[in-house]
Amino acid sequence: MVQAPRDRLIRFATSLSVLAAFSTLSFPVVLPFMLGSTALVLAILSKGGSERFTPKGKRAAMIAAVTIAVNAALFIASVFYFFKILRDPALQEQFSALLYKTYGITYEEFMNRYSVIFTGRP
Amino acid sequence: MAAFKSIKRLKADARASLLGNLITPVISVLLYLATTAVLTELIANFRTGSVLLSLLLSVIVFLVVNICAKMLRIGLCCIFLRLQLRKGARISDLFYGFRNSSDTAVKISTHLALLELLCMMPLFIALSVLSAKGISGHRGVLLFLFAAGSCASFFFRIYYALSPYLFLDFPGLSARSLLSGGAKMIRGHRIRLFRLYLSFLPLHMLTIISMGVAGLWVSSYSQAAEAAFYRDLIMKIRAKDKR
Repeated sequence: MVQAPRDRLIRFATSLSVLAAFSTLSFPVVLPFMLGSTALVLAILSKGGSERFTPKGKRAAMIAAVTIAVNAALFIASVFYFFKILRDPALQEQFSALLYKTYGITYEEFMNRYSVIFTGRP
Repeated sequence: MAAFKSIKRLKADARASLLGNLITPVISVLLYLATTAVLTELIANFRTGSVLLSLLLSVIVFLVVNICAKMLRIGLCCIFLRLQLRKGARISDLFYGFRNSSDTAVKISTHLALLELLCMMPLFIALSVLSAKGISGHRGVLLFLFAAGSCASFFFRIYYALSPYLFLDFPGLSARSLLSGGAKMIRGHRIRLFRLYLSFLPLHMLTIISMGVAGLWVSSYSQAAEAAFYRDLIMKIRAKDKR
């Protein structure tokens, strides 16, 4: 059966938005932003000559918008905690213990690696 | 005289023209962006000991690159205008300016590129002086010059936005007539076109957060809306002339 262009576009937008929602769990922020934004734009384009969304198009747009909002909140929270850790020695210790448990490096080693990446010197 | 279409209606027309035809415009926009990005890399940072030499090289490369980019933009306009007229478009239409009446296309592109160069000249002079003297910093001044130059070139972009479309509709006319005709046609509608561009700002924010991926569709959508704007304007003008 040949699908109408609008249905194909809505299906593609829905697939992308669902993928974006699931990728929040595996690759938060970057992948959901990419897939979610593209899904939202495609959902908007699926309106065609009409000024309103179709119910399926609206669902795709809603999933994409919620995914983007959740990941934006995650991103803002991460940046907030990053600066909080930089300033708070107690949090630094907690973070260092967590880092050592997960990756086998301490906070100082972690920061040294990052300073090498960004400044080119330890 | 019938009222001009609202921005919402123009955007709906743009979406309608893209529905079922998204592949060609998206690939064309990708090709256009990739080509201009590669060409723009050529401009980045000419560092010679002489101020004059770095300035001269920057200006020459900027001009050549911009003329090529403007020629490709004529091709993009061709694709979106054909979609607007439901005539079907091909990716090879991107090179329309290089194949058809290319002397006129080069003249129009050169005029537009020179205007853009004029807007960016203060930035080039500052960059050349700073790089030749080995001075780093002055980011505030450079940012201000870049912002001012971009605003001025955006003004010229609106002023001559319709000239490429006129070139496609009236290929026999001279470059001078097309440029002045485009400027005359947009008079009284510049704010409307500015508002149309501005209405795409939220979608351009999505382009930024998607690291450019969504930009392929957003650029196609905004170009299609610009073509719908031109079509609406030219149809009203023709209807007025008939009467």
